[in-house]
Amino acid sequence: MKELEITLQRSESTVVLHAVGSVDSDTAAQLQEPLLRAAEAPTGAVELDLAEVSYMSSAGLRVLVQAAKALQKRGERLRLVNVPLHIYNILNLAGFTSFIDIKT
Amino acid sequence: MKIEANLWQKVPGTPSVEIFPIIPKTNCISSNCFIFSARDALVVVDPGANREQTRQISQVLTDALALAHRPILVFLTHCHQDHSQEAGGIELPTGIEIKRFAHQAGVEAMKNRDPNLTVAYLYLGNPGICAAPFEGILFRSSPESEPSALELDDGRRIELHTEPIAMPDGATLQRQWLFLGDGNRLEIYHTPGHSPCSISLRVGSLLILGDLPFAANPGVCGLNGWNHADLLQSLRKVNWLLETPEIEVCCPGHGYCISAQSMREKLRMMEAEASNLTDVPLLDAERISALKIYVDELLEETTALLTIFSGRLYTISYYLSLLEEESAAGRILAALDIDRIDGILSDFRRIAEAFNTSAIPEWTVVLKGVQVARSLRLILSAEHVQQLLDFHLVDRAQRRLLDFLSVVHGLQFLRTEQSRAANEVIAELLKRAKEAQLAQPNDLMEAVDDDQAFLQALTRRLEAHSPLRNIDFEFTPAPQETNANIGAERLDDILTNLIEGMAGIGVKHIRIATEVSPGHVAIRLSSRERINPAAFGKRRLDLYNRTLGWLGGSLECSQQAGNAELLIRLPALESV
Repeated sequence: MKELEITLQRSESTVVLHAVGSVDSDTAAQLQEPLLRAAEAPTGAVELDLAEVSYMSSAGLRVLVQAAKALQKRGERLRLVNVPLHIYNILNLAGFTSFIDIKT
Repeated sequence: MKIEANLWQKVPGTPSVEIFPIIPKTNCISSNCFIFSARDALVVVDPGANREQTRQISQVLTDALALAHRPILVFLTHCHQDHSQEAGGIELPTGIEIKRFAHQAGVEAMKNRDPNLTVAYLYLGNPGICAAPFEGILFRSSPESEPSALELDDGRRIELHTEPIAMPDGATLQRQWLFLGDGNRLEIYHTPGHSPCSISLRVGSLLILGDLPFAANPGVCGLNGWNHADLLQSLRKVNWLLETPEIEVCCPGHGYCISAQSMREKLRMMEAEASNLTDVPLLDAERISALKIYVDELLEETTALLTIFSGRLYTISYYLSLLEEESAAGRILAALDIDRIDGILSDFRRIAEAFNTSAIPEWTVVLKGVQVARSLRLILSAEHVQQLLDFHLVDRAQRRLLDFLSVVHGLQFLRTEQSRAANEVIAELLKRAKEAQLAQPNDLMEAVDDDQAFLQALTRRLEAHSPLRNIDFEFTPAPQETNANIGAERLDDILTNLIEGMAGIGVKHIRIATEVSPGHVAIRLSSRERINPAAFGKRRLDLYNRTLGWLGGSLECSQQAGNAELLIRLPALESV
């Protein structure tokens, strides 16, 4: 199974996380820690780049909801960018587009 | 009476025999092994096919021999590779004699290096078929040629007695037995069905059944040598044996030993299931390869569907949290064991990936797929899940898993339901999509004075978040009869999945048209928006093309004026 690698890029107003690999029950914690840290910080937009994510299971969806909740508390929305079509399809059908900004 | 793995314990119903069970994690690569220690012999049933396990067997035997020198008698419950491969690999101290026993059909298969009856064809890299000599040939077809005893080097003899049991229903259970000393006997029963060489063995009140308890499973029935009539007879005979109070514990060829009563219940259920397994096709290498592809496609689709289930629950919980209904949000998530489903699916992905690196045989992937499908069906059939999730979605997932199990079983599917006109099925689907747009306008108002009812109404509204609700449909029905030879629910499933797939990638306008041509009903799905055919997903299209192909239909994705169009062809009902 592919490992998940997360790298972080900070600018003045945004934290961008790049994920590479599969996000499933074995690897979701690797995404959870940096993503929640960014979302729970007092300021700054949070963007997650999924261009190189091949698979996302419900464990990954849970992490996204946790981050979305944390950001919602300070009036922000989580941004997902470069979302592969098959993952976009699932997020859209699950209703995530109503509370997360998602771009393919 | 519990039989534990990896330790010596008394065999129930005997004065002095002990058993040392080796029970690896259930897999189809190597079987359980049971070692008995009796006064006159050490008996090994099914060495298995794992070198590490063979080393353990050799060590256990060596330790037991240090207490008393005895010959080793190796028995095979049947000649399948996962039980027999290591029968010649046991290493013993000098001077210890070993005699091997198996049913005549199994002995001949191993002697002739038959990859079919030994099912060696299921395993990677042509594993070696056991070449060790078998001196003990059980249930010979010409009993007159059977020597009554095997001579040991020290002059002792192992007498093999033949004494069939006349059953009350007039049938005969073929039995042979030998003495193990101190008045203990090892009884052997011929129980074919899984394989013609299948035997069951009894010591005291412990019965070893080999793979008989799995013989009706999808991915197992239809293996070379499998026989429906023999299996039903063997199940009846073993059930009869289990009704006698003499048997307390049953040990299968894979997995843990269970009480005779539990095994009786299992075999009765299996008997009912097996009675439908007439005309099961041969599960040969070609069919296993085809099934493996189907497993991959189907589980990918099912994974997506179940991830959408979980995602919808997370969406509901998100909004309930915003409304400061944290405990209700928690209850929603707890109702469906999302983590367990995720774990099951992740486990399968790991197996499938191991296959793709050629580390395991295709058959393992198929059997793992069966296990996953059964586990998911069980989770989805829980009443609270049915109440919580959109029942239509749950039914779709259930039907898909059931189709899979039926196909692996080798049974026909999709022809058991009533067929309906394609126009009617589409109209019904569009009506459902329309209803999703019009959630009951008064439900929240009516529930406003009751906290619990209000929460339930709110949850129902969130659940009704149908992906079809934002789509504009344009339906052009054919004026002729559109009766197609496909169950209405299956057609609805296929259409809903394809339409949801289009909705998932952002399509907002879908045109549906039906057409009738001689022998066929066609359904065209297209969108006003431009779609890249790749967006549908190759595996999804392959899966539905395969499913429709089994019905004499097809699914094509073509370019029409630069845009993708899906064309479903169904065989017309009257043409079949």
